Amino acid sequence: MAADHALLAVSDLKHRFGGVQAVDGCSFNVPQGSVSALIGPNGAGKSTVVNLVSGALPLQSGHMEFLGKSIGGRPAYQIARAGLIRTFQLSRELRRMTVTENLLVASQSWRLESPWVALFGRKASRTLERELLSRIGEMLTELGLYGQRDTYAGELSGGQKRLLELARALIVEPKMVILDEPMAGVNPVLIDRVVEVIQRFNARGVTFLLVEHKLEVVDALCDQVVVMAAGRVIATGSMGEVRQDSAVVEAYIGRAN
Amino acid sequence: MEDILFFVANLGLFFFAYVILTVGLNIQFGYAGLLNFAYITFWAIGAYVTGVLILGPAPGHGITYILGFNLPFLVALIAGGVAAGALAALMGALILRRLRSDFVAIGLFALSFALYDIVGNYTPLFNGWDGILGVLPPLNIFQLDANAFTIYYLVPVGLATLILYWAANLLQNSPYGRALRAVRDDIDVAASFGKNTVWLRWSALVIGCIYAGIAGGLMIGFLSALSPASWASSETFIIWAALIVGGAGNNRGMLLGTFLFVIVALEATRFIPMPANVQNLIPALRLIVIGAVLIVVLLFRPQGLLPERRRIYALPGQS
Repeated sequence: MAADHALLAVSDLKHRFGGVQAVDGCSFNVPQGSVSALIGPNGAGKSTVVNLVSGALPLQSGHMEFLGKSIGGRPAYQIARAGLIRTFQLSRELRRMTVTENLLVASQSWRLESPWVALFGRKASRTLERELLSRIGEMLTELGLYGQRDTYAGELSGGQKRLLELARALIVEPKMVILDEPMAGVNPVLIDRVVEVIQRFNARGVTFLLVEHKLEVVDALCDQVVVMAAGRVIATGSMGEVRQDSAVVEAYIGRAN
Repeated sequence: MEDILFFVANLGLFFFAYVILTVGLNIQFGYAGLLNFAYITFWAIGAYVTGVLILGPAPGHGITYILGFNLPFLVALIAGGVAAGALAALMGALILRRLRSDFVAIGLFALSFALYDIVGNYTPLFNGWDGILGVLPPLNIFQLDANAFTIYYLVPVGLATLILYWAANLLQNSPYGRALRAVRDDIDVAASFGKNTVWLRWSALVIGCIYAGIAGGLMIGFLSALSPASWASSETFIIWAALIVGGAGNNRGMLLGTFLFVIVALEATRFIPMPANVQNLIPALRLIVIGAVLIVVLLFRPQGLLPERRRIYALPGQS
């Protein structure tokens, strides 16, 4: 499944918050077509890396390439339009919009989002809307959210919000999705469903990068694991390989004296 | 009997103009979540620019203002809307790139205060604190007297209100309106799936302020005079109250709120006869009542009397 060339290449990323060096020379590749994981103890700098790669934080130092093009310093919306979509560590939904609208607004073309189209191009937007609605219906059926289609996103349960966030990332037809702790607060039955959805979309060509604490999920899903500690990458390889790595064991359990 | 007719027609003019104002604010706040507490400034700019374009050259002798081109009303009105929009475009470019919700509010508020002082003190612009006056009734092709003009003027103002209300509905029920709502609900999420949040908020600010400018231009047609005293911050407060009590995001709620506040509370009470020694009582009471109603609504029905409606789509699929 994993191809040779990198879809996302991050090199020598550094980021400082005041006196804290949160990311300190982080480099890794995400191969095209892979399901990769970014793991590490709390405070390792994983979320900061996600925020840098997605453009949510301004780049201070380092290089990032997506599809062979530099994305460093570009605003979040341009990185998303290039096909790299991220979710958030704590679910963030458009709470006063229904589940259907959440997906509709995510997937509609930005070219139609102008006042001129609103006033003079209603036919084009209606046609597009019909197309999108049938795709959205499929997606909601697939994720088991169809029953909640007209519910305000703010009224969903925690697990349902997680599924909605996944659906919102996938409906965009992205090349790559970064899932920031997709299993947090999700019950075991739902975890299986999320795993299955990720595998299904990976088979359709979507590359994934998961930031995840549940190592059994990482083990089941991921081709490649990148381990971070103290702002750096300390190991890269399969889950089996990094488990044997003494630096990884040390980072997780602490130095044995 | 005729007096009542003119009175109602006058209320109608205020109602229409305030509907345009509140619709514009709804585009900014109800659609896009922008906190613009400087909104009345853009109304004033529209009114001033329309006014000085209709007026002839400034006579001097202590009365000074720019332009004075004797232009036809429609041209002046459009210019007034464009001027308000251009000012908003400039302020938005300064503020929206770097700042978020509450800081946008503070930034706009600060800029509008600066503008208020500039207009008041720099007399060559719009004649300072004394303001401009003597704007003749526009479109008065039949040479009507003041009362008859009030009724006649309802037609163009009503027409403008209809068109602008209809356009606002089209904006709301479009991909553009949907993207604005996404930005309103969570700006980072909207950016995370490719929405250009700076452009979306900027355009909503500009469109809303064009509405304000046109409302101002229409109003100078029947107010005939304008000075800084008439666009103090309490005017902005009343438009905000109308929008929030009626229901932000819902244009019908906005109509209801405007009717309640502007017609019932603000304008109709002007004509309650009061003894001369307590003539400031009504304006003071009016603001107290508006404030109290606003608090009650925010406590018990924060979504407003007519909340934003849930949008239902026919969707294929199964549970």
